[in-house]
Amino acid sequence: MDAGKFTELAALYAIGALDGEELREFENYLRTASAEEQRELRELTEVSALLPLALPPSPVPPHLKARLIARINDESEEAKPSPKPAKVLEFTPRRERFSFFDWFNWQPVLTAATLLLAITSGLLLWQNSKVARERDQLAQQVAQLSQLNVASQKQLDELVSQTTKFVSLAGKEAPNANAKVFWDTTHNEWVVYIFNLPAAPADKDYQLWYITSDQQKVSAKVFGTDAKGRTELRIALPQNVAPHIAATAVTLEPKGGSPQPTSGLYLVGQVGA
Amino acid sequence: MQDANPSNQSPFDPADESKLVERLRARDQAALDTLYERYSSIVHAVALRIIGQPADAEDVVVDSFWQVWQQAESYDASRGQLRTWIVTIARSRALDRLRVLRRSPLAEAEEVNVAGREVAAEDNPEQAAWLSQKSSIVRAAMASLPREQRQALELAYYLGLSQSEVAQRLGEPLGTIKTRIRLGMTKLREQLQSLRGH
Repeated sequence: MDAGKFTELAALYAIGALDGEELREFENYLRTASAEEQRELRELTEVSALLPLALPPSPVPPHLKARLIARINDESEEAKPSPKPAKVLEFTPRRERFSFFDWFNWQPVLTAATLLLAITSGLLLWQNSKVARERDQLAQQVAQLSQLNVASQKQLDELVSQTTKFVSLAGKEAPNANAKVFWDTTHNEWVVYIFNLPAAPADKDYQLWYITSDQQKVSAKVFGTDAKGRTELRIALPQNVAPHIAATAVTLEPKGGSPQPTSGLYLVGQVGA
Repeated sequence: MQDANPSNQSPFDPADESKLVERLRARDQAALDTLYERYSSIVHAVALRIIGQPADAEDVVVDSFWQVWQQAESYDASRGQLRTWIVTIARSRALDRLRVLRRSPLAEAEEVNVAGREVAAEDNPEQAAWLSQKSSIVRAAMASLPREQRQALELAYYLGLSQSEVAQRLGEPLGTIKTRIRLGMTKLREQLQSLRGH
């Protein structure tokens, strides 16, 4: 702020005429004003306080000092512990005036204020408990998501591992269906994702089969699907079968599964080398 | 409430005023009495000029010195003289009262009969002499200002009008009012240099 602008704003400020945004900006500026600027403002403020000296002489009624003293004595008396002695005014009694605080009945107001305080405190306690419960729920959800994230990461690691084989199954009896098998050859585990199988009749279940290189069919899992024909299966391969698996397939079997397939192949896929 | 320690110093000596403030903070009523003797006539004049009604002006005098008594701790000598602080309190209290009363102080101030009232020089000749001398200087300084500048200053100071309100009241552009107040205040600062700090 240049000196001319400061002088103008300081003059307006000193006489109490600065307003609006300029007032706010000037008061903010004063926090970092230089010593010279502060001195200038102080001088202008002192000038404004000199203006009343130009007024006509105005003798002060003598009883005013008595009123002031009485007020101070009242304060002193009220500050003393009870029992409160009678007040003795040293000078002329002050002019009788009705005070709002004298006649107003504060009891209902205080009662209402106390009640309001109690209600507000209760409300705040209740809200605090609610917030605490929500905080615990959120913490639980975070823990669950964290566990899910760990599991997903593990799954992803398995999928991209060099020891994972991939088998794709295509639909035969169910042309729109398909499935993917991720074979962890280190631990001989399958993770199977199945999509778009038609809903099985109430008395039927789907059944997953290992098909060995000599065309033997070994039951792997009996399963159902969700409303969209999807499911996810995790299967530990039998040690004696795993080395001989050449293909895998899904059939529709009587409820609970069958020892050997009894229907056509809904899904089938060849296991590569 | 008599000052138990009358001083031979000039009544407006800064060191003396600093001691007075210390005594005030120590709840020494004699110090308040001294301040009252020094400044009550200025406070009363400000209140009467702003409010225009003697009874209300008297209330402002009592309220102002009550505030001085109660808030002595908040006085900061680095921000201005004790007189400046007290007059500022009085002006503020008077303007607050004026806003409540919603009167036209200029019109009613004319009705205030101050004729026949004289400064209580008999009781306080030192105070009266000081007032008489300094008042003459301030009056001369105010009289030297162009009428437009003086009018803008008085509307702002005694009616508590903002620069925008002064401009509206006088039907002048805001920039013109800013200039008038700046010129008026800087000229007064020059002319009243001898009074500042005394």
